[in-house]
Amino acid sequence: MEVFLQQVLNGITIGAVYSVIGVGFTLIFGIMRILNFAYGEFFMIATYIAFFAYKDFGIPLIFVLIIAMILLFCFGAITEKLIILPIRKKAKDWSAGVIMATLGLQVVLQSLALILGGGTFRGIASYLMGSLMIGPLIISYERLLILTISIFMLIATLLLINHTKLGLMMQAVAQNKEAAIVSGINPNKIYTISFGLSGLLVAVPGVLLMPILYAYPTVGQLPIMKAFAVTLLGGMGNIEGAIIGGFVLGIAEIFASAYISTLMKDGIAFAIMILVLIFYPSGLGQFIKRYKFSRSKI
Amino acid sequence: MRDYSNFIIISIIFLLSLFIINNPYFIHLIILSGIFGILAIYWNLLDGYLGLINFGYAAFFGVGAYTSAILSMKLNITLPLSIFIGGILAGIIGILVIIPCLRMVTFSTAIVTLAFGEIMRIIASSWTSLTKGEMGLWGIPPLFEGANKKPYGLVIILLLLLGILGIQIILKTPFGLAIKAVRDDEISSGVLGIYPSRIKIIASGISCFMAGIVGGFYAHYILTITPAIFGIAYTIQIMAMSLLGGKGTIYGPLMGTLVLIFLGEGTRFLEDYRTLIYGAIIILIVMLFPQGLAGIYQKFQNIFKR
Repeated sequence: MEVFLQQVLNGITIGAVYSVIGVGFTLIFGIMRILNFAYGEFFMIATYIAFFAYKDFGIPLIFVLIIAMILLFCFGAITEKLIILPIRKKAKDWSAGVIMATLGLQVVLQSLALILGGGTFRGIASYLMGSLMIGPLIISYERLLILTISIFMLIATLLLINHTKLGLMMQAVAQNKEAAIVSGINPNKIYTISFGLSGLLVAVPGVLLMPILYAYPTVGQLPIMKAFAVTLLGGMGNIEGAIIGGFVLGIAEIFASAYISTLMKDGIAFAIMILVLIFYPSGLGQFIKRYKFSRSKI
Repeated sequence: MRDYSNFIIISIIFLLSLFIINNPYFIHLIILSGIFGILAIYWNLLDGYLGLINFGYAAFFGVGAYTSAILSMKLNITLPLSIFIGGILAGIIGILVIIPCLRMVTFSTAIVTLAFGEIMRIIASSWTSLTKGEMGLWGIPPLFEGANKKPYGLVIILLLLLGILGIQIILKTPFGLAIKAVRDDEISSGVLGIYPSRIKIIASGISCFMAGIVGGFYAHYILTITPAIFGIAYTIQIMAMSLLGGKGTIYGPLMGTLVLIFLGEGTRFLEDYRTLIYGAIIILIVMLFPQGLAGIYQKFQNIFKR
């Protein structure tokens, strides 16, 4: 029983991280209907920023986090302005073009990281020692911090989407772009901000997972796979769904590795994902009835 | 006849280049172009014509490769037959994977197939008694004896031409028209008496069958295969070739394949900066011509028509 509870706790911690990664990915899909293949590389940039700021400049962790979030927001917004916007202006059906462009961006960023930093692994052993005991359960302070900040980010995102003017504008653009324009919303601005927000969200796990995922050029492969899986589990573009999906995936993975096989961990997680989708084709988010980012049919 | 003029030009170019060129390295490039050309064209049959995105396409390629290699190594089945069995198996698995996807929306299909690819990769790397795991299968019997690569080139080019011809004929039949109808509007095509599910199943069967055949050829040409061929990296390469060339065209993916393969090789003199320039060129092409290379070709045609 204690082992079981401990696994649940571990699963929730990992699930919170997956949720943050997934929400950043699904946000862009929900609003712009595009898949950002360079998302993993946003994560990679965050790990590099974290390493250099924390290790070389000795900035306290919380400021590192804020700096990384600001820089990644700017990076996401610039990416949208420089690469996605020209494609959107030129073609009517831009999903294929954007996939290609983000794939190209992925290659460019990976090779830039390789040229500038070499292929070495850069990481730190730990930024917070010690652990907390709750009865029979053990959680290290590091994991507790990751869990707290991730859940804080998820709540902040939900509040932003549901209860602020910016969030309502995003929902409007996602549901019906033409009607949003008529009501005086500039969709280009919303697109840029949402790309920035997506970068901001992925900066959080990028910094906090410093002791686990070291900074190296192809570190983004793992987060983007998780982002795909979480997004799909929750229903494409459904933010609440992505949060549920992240926790489901995290717990499923931990249980698979604890009780079945560590080697097959990812395989089992994917198999569960396919099983869920066979029975609930539009994802777990369908239990929450409000589809904020579903496009209304004209 | 006019519809096939492009086909005739391309077959002449490919066959002539095979007879003129003697450098084994360039022949290798031609063979690679043939392999990836077929994959890109048949990936595009699903994405461009049917609107069904398959992110695990490399997995079917891998199924063909592993099946054919294992059959010929362990059961001593003669070569072309084992490749054919690999293709059939890949086609059947393609159908089985697409059945649960029929109820889902397009992008969900994409990620289910992606997950399928990952599962196949994990199985191939952990089933060590059959696949030798991460070390990969080696010592696969070659398709042709001797060091000459020209027979391989001839086979793959004939396969490529057959594939192009096949897709052109498929698209002319009522079945091909049904494919396009399903892409444009699934509900109204259903009203007209087309079964969208049936169309999707048959089209993915055909597409995955071709991937399996090419995979078998690849295994008996390269002679060493590792579980990495199931991975997303190959699928992304195939997708990049297909999308760069132009979605929903026959010759676009072939052009995209040639450009990417020869661009990748031609930029080798840049050494460390090679992948950087390669990625930057992809971004630039997409930014300037979002419809892909086929869009450029069409623009030229319009100029000459005036």
